[in-house]
Amino acid sequence: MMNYIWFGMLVLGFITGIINGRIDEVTNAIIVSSGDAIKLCINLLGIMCLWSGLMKIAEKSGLIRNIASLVKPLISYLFPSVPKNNPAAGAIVMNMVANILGLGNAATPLGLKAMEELQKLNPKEHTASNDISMFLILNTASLQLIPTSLIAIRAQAGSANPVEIISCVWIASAFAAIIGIISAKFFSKTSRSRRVSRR
Amino acid sequence: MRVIKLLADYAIPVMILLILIIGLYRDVKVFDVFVDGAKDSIYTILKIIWQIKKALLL
Repeated sequence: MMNYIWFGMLVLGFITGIINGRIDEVTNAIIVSSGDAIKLCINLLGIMCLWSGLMKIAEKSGLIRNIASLVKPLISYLFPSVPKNNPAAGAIVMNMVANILGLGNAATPLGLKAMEELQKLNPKEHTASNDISMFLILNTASLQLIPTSLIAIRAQAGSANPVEIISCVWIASAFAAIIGIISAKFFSKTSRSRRVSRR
Repeated sequence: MRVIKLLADYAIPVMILLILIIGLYRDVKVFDVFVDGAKDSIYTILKIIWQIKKALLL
C-alpha cells in the first residue's frame, strides 16, 4: 500500500511541475528538501527536549492529570482503548491544546510523545490501531483557534486585514474535524480486521 | 487583530510559566525533572533517525 501511495505522490508532483512549467523548481525542491529532512530531525531534537522536559514537570505536579480528568469524557469517547490516567491521555490532551492554539512548534513534539504512548498500547505492533488513526486524523484536521502561519502569510503578502478569514477557518476546520471523527469511527467499527502495511 | 496577535504571542510563554509555577507550587524539583524529561526525547528522535536510515539503507 505504502509503495503505491509514495509512488503516486511523487508522480503527481512531477506532473504538476510539468504542467505549470516549473520542472526546474521540482529538481531543486527534491535536493533541498531531502537535506531539510535531516535538518528537521536535529532541530526537532532541541525543541522536543524542551517540551518533553516541561511535560515531565506537568506530569509530576499532577497538572496533566487535572487537565485530563477535565476532558475525560471527550478522550474516552475518541480513544476508547486508552485507560484513564495513562500518560497517553495527558500527551493527547496537551497536543490537542497546542494544536487548537496554533502552536505548531509545541504540537509536533507533543504529538510524537502521544504517538509513542499510543504505540505502547497498540496490541499489533506493525498495524496502526484505531486510536492511532483517530489521533492522526485529529492532528491533520484539527480545530485551530488562531491559524498563526496563515495569518503570517497573509500579512506578508500585504493583506489589508489578515485576520478577516478567521471565522471561515473556524467553520472549515470544524467541519473537517467532524467529518474526520465520523469517518474514523465508522471505519473502526466496520472493518475490524483491516490491515495497514507499514512499508 | 491586535487581540488575536497578543493571544498568539503570549500563548507559549504563559504556558511554560504556568507549568513551572504549578510545578514549583506543588513541590516538584523543576530543574531535575526537566532535565530528566529532556533526556527521554533524545531516544524518540534517535528512533526517527533510525527509521530514516532503515528506509534508505535496508
